[in-house]
Amino acid sequence: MREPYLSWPEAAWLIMQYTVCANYLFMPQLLYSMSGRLSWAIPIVATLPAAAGVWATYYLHTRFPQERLGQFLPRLIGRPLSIVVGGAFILFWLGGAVTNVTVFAHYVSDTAMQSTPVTALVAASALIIVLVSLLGLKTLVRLTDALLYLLAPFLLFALFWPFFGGRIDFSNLAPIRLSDLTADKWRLAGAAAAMYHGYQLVFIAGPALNPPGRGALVAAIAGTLAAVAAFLSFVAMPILAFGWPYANLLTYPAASFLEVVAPRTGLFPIRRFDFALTVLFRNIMIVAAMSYFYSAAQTVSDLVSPSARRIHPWFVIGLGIAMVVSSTAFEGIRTVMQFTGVWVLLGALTTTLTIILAIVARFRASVSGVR
Amino acid sequence: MRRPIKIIPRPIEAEARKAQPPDLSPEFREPPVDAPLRFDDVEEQVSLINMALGSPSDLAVRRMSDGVVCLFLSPLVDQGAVRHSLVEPLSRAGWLELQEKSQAARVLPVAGLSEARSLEAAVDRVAEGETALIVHGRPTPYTLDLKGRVARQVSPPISEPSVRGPRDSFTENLSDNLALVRQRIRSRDLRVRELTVGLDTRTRVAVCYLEGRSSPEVVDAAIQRLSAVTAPAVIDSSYLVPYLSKRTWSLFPPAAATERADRACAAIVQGRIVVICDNSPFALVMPIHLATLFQANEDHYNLAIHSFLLRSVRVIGWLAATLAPALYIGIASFNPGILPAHAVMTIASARQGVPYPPVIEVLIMDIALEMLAEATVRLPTYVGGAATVVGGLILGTAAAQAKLVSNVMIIVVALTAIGSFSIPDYQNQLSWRTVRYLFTFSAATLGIFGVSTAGLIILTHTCSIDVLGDSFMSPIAPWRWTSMAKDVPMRVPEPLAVKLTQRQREEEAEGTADA
Repeated sequence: MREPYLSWPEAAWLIMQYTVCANYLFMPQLLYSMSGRLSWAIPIVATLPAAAGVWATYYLHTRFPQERLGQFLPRLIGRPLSIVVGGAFILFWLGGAVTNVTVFAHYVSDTAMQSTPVTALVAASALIIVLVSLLGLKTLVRLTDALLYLLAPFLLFALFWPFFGGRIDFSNLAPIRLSDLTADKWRLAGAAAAMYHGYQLVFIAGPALNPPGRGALVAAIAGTLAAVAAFLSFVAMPILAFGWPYANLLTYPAASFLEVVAPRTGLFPIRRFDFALTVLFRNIMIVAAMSYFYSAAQTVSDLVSPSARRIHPWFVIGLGIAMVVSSTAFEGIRTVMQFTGVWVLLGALTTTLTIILAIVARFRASVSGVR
Repeated sequence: MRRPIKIIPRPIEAEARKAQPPDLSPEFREPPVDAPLRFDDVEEQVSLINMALGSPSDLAVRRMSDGVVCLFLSPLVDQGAVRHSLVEPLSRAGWLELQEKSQAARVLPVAGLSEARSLEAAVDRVAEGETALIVHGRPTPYTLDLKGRVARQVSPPISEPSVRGPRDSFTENLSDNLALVRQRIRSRDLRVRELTVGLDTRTRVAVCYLEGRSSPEVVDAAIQRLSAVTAPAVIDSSYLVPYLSKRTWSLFPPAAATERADRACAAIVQGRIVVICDNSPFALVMPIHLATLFQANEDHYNLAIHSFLLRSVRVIGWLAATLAPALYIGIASFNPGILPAHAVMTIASARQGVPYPPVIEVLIMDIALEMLAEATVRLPTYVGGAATVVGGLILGTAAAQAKLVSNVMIIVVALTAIGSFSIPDYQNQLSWRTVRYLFTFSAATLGIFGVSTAGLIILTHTCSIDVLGDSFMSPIAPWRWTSMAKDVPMRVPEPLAVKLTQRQREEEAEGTADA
């Protein structure tokens, strides 16, 4: 067995990155369309299903501390069902990778690189993702660690700077009408269940955790709480700064960010900072896309060959090609946004499956993990 | 391929006994007067060693007295030492007094006296420069270390000069280099493990580390890897570098080369391993981290705040050296909107009349810069400086006047060159010079997005490098906060550094160092 190398703060950071991913590009608009002014409350409501998900993941991890999802599923629910359940996770993760890469490629293609084909931009991102997956989880963890110094200041800036910029007006949140929140119950439930899915990373990185067990729980809680803060800032800040319905007018993904943090002067060259913003968004997006993709590739590999030490390179390359090909199905950023509706449902399904798996494991005490 | 030396010695001992049964008991010290003395066994050993070495013209065979012959390769031994330590003592002693090692040690005032295990081992030692002493009645010769070699004096470092700090540097002599280390680290915990590598060159390599400070796993891994070196020739320490990492194709070296004895000693005290190779003035320091490649030893000789300033300048220089041409291409070809309108206009007007796209401009100037740098290294010192100035002036001015490149490009290239030379480690400089081309081509293909892609690829590559089980990106990734606080963005003042080091050791002992 290899020595565990993943500390809980590193795992928490990875989980936070995994959760936030490209959601900053589409989550605000998705939530505004669902609950209007009160959409800022959804990231808070979503902590309830997240708590259940964190517990379920932790329980499964304590039962199978040295195994990944694709390794313990066949023993827990049998081979045929494991393919169905594992398949759902793989679809969700691969869908996450495709969404991240494609939404970002369209964003760049529409703003900074209008004459470059979207497929070329997707392929460039896919190249990095495949490279990292070929190099393994340790490289992914270190890469995420290294990006902390770039991304953490950016996220903290996004969270706190508006408070110093003089734009924040809490009266913009009122009036609070609960009917807004419950207007579209099923979509709200789906979005809330899928929102904080980062803890699923324990299914893949659990055996590398040092210490295992409680470390997974602490990492999942810390990572999820950090993601709550990030989502709140992305969703609530435009409403706090511009009020409703003006915040919703900033319909283009991420367009609101600089407007919120920019100083109150017409001379401030907002668009010139698109470059810096693009690089920052790109780095957040790529970590999440890599994590999703790696999780999918690892689970495919585990389901096919549970004892393999490394993912077979052809699985990784094959999935990489599949990612690029599937991204061509999206004609523009609107189609990607439509797909995110389906993807969020897949996320809700995997959260539900996680909880069900934990309950099954609870009642099938005879099945235990390899120690 | 090394040709095996085939020596099938005849049973010298038995034959010697037959010719003249030697009674070596203390009371029988003189041979019988009437028996004729024959030293066939000695002659046979001389002839076998001579034959095994290919009868070289520089093999000196000196018959000291009856039954005592010494052999050595004359360029490799100290003639004075031979006279004082061998010829003079042996003029007062005969073969009988040299039968036992303890006796021989009393007669010969030499520290490095040993018995060769076989005649073949003796041949190897003679080839390495030792002196073989063949004594009648002994099956194998003694070997004596009377090596004398052509070695230069300890001199100031050429490739790593500094304003402050010691002026001595390693030479080509392993013993001198070890002396430089031992003079600085007088701890009883300093360990020196010597190995012989290179099938043909049989080069001596010393692995130096501080017991209790270096990780035993890292030390074991280093010794294991060096023991497994299969190269026929190890001419310089750089020959060992590819064997220190599992990854043969890497942009970054797994060990830092230094000729500064103070830098090597600082590394040993920090818990690293230093490999000193005979015939090489460059010691290898490992495991290395990316962050340490931007540290100069002078950082420890200046005030902490001054060191911070210099280190920041180095990092800015590194960024300029690596990214300036790529950003120029990205801005000029793809994303002019980043800059204010008048800055874009300046670039556009400077490029007016230049027949090539920015990437060709960059490549022309980059290659010219590489040629200048290479020419400066090859040219004699006195001519090198002048050639660089003339080359730079002529190339830059003429190329801009001929509209082959723009004036802005000249500024970019100058910035690149200055930035590149501000990177402390030469190997590190070369690595980043290579990376610059990746950035250039990425920017030419996808603009700023390409630069970001190339950056992530390089970051991925550096994150995947392990040197003897230690991450190349440490303490940046995985996070080691104490280590990071101590000496990465800035070197903290010494008293605080000592406290942090103590804390770091406690964390490592508790196994929580990574978080």
